Amino acid sequence: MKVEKMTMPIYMDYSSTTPVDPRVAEKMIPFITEDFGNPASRSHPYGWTAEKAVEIARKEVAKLVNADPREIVWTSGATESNNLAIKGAGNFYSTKGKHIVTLATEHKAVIDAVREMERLGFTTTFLQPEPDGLVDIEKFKAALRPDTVLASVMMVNNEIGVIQDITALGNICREQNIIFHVDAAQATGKVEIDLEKLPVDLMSFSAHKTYGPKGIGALYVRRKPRIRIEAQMHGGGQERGMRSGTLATHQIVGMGEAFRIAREEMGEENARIKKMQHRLYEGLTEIDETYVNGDLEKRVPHNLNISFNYVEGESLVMAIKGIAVSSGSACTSASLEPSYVLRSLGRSDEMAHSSIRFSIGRFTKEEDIDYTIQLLKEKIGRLRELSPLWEMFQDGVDIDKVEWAAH
Amino acid sequence: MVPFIKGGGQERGLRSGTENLAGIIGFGKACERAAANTVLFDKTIRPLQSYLEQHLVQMGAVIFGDQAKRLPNTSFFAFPRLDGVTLLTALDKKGFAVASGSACSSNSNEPSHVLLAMGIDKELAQGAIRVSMGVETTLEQVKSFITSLKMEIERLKQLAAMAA
Amino acid sequence: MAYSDKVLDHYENPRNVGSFDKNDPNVGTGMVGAPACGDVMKLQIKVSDTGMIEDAKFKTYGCGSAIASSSLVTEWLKGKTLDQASEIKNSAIAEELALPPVKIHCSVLAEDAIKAAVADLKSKKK
Repeated sequence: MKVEKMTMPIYMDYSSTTPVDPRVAEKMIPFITEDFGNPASRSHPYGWTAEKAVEIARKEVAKLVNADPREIVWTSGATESNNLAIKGAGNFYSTKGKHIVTLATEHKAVIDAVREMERLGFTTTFLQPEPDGLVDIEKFKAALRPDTVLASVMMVNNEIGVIQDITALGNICREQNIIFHVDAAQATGKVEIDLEKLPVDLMSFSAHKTYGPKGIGALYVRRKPRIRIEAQMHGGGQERGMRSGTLATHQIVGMGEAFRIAREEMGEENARIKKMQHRLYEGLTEIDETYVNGDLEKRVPHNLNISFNYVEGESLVMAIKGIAVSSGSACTSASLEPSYVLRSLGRSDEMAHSSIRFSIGRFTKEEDIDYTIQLLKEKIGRLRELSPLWEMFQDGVDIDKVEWAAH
Repeated sequence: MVPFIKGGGQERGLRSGTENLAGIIGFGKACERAAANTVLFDKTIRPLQSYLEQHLVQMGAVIFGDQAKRLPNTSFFAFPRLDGVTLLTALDKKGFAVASGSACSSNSNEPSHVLLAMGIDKELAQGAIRVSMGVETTLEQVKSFITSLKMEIERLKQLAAMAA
Repeated sequence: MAYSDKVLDHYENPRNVGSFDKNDPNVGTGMVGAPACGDVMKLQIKVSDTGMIEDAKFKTYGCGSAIASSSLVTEWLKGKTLDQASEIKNSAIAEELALPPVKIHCSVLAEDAIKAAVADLKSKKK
């Protein structure tokens, strides 16, 4: 079957996935064709070459986050890492207590893994963040109980890009002897991560959000003090028994190279992307009645999430086909529900529906930003011309006070 | 089934996580080729296996599962009173990459649990060597392997005799 | 989501966008839907002294199908009597635009908007 090639819109969806950096792809290829050995094969050079490559990559991943390579466990991606961390640590330490604290704005992989723990008899607390998307430290503290065994908070939110205060949250967990897991899938290469300093016990990583391939990730498992997890996948005993399965050498090599590039280039790259974010922000907020979702300062430079009031989400997405973005509206996902993240911030359904997540990255050009601004200005203008709500707003009618007939 | 990895709900909720796109395309293509080449695979490799095993038996090897229906590319065997790891190391030095068992359990020096379950004597199982071939394997390679193996076995037997 | 060519045409080139003075005695206004549900349609008809719809305008907050449904009915309404207008069925709109099942409610909303506009006009004429 041939997949038809379409004219491709400008890619502004780096938070969904990133292209594999050509340098990464180049490094991966020999490990698919020539050096294809199983890293677990101990009896010949095919295996040794593969094993060596895996260990070099492990060092690179560890280096980006200042961890010991022995603290890195390969997985199939951040979703698996999150599942392994939550189920693995939750079950291992369940004699200590059966209560888990997390945020309502976590990625589905954390939320659903925590929900799964409920099925196994755990009780849970899903904390609502403040309207800026950040969790209130005191509220977090108050949610912890003597039987709390695990807390899971993401470093960077995937929808609104806000950065949680991991140090403060981790310190609270340390004081109370609670295992602290952090989903850092959206953070690598965007914010400094120093696990020698950060009070974090388990941290999830993904390759494909940082210019590596899809299908590979890692879980950081602290050695000092040593954190134990129950394996979720059993078999050959790879990864010191924490995650069995033949290692995907080429994928691992790709993740290592991607993380090496991130470590070496993130300083310069983030400064450049920050400028483009600012340009995009300035341009888009020239449009009336736009609202940035999430704190603007404590945010990665790659993300801008904006609601365009009085414009319906699905028609908005339809109007801006020239760019590839994610929206808080129905047509991008199978469900008809507005973004649960934006709802958690207290946004109305309409505002959540009319939100667009612009996420930019390594290969975004300034002219892409300018095109996006121009496109949005034109299309928002057109859709508002069509919008009876916009007309009412212009006439000074308070839409919230209108009694709408339910249908 | 209760899903094992939860999250984004991919794969009808049975297995969440962003799809490994390149990997999936590769798997699909590999399956397509495998389906087309199954007969060819058997035709090219079966004669090599027969040739190899004929010589192995002459050299005194025990071939595991030789009476059973087997894949054409895998020969699992041992020479009584010869250690597998020693033989493996020697073969590697001569340029042959073979295994003592399946790769994921190569970490340990324990004999194959599969052989033990088949009722093979533990000492014999300790000497097990697995040769697995592919469509690229040639008759010349197999012949050269047999020659090297013969030399090694002779050498090891002499060493054993000297030690005794 | 794939849209039919007719939906795309109405979405790209909506007919009869705009507003009439809602206090005009010859203008009937129907406003249906709710922002929280994702669609609000405002449909206005203007009738001649003989009771014929001589013009129609709309504004819609909603998806492409909702915009197309309301744009289409403004075309259909012109030249019709109020009774004929009231006979327009959502199934005809859905069929004309080839709406998928999940978008049928857009055509229902358009039918409701016509009824509301006609009712508004009739109440003015009493």
